[in-house]
Amino acid sequence: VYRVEIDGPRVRVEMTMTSPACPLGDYLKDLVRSAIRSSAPDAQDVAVTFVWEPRWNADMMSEDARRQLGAGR
Amino acid sequence: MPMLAAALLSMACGVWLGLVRIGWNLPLPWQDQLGAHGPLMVCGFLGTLISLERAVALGARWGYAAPVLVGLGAISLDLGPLVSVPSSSPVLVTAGSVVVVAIFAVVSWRQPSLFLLTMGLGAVAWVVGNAQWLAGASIYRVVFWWLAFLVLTIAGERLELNRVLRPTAATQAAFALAALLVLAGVAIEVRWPEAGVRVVGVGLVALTAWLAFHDVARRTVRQHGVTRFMAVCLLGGYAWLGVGGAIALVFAPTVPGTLYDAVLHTVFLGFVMSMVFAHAPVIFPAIIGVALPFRRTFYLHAGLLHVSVFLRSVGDLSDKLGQWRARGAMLSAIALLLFLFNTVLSITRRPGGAR
Repeated sequence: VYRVEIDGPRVRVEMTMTSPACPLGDYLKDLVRSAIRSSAPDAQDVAVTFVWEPRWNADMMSEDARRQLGAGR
Repeated sequence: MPMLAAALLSMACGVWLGLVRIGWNLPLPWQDQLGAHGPLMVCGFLGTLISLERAVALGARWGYAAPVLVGLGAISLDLGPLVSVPSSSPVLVTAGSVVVVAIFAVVSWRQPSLFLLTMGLGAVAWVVGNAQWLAGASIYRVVFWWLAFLVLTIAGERLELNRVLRPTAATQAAFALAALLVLAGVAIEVRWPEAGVRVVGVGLVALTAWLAFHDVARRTVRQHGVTRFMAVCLLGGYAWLGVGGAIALVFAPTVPGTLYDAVLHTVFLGFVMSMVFAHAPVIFPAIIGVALPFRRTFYLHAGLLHVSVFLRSVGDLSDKLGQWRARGAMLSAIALLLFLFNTVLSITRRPGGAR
């Protein structure tokens, strides 16, 4: 997730995916929207957009993701 | 949904024809359709699904021309002489595959990379195979192009995931070399069939070695639940890719026969179908917006598939055990049915139902 902008009940999220050819995009957007609505019920207008710059790289992974994939440092 | 239905209908028709071809005495609704087995499985079933996946990923309306065209081609293959224009399916499928290449051109423009190039070249191989099919070439002249399409599509996906392990330049070069060998093999096969099939074999063995050594499945197999299930399916599939490659390399079967059957079905069933089983739990949410929670019973259809491919390969390679071929084929069909059954069960038994 690159950017989160909150303006009253409006939430704008900019995020990327590991691959622009991945079909899970809409599904991930849905998950993000429902995660925001469940933790912030006042958010009425949630917009999630994908951006491709900067490119995703392995340094952006969380420690937890790294551990799950056995990727190490 | 209609496209998914076209894909599943193609799978059902394709499997039925496959069972008749291998010797099961089942009724055929009309004559002269046995040759449709390969096109139904590769283009009708997998081609429609892969086109649909790419269109969903692109997210632009024109991209859906790919699965619509391929799906229509699939339906016209399914219905055979019932539809008025008998030769329409190669035209439709070829046109759809060209749209898939266009989708790859657009996403590669967004973010050029080796994995997108690999998958894009896989799509190009599909177009080349389809064009020959359209021109009236025999399926055995076309099928290695189709094999390259599926193998490169899957290998590209795995390379994409491999980035979490930060592959070195040498690792990526090794992958590129293996993928190029597969492509070179199918190109050589046009002029020198035997040499070409052997080169394809070397490429498949090289890709298997790369996947066995570098794929994240080797690590994720130590996880639990769906992650482990996927890794088990992936590793099992890689083993069959290696077996298929080795048979192609050693025996170089260029025309239909038992060894040809062994190469195609270790790769298409053992490798490709195992990948389909592996990815179903993550791909269903993407395509139809329905979650597919993992159940332990998924191991039943995956296990049965591998047993069935083993029986078939033994039947193919040994004269004495030739009967195992048809039995293995029937078991593969049962594994596919069980996969559909487990999938439906997983969706409907979910607390709360559809998302």
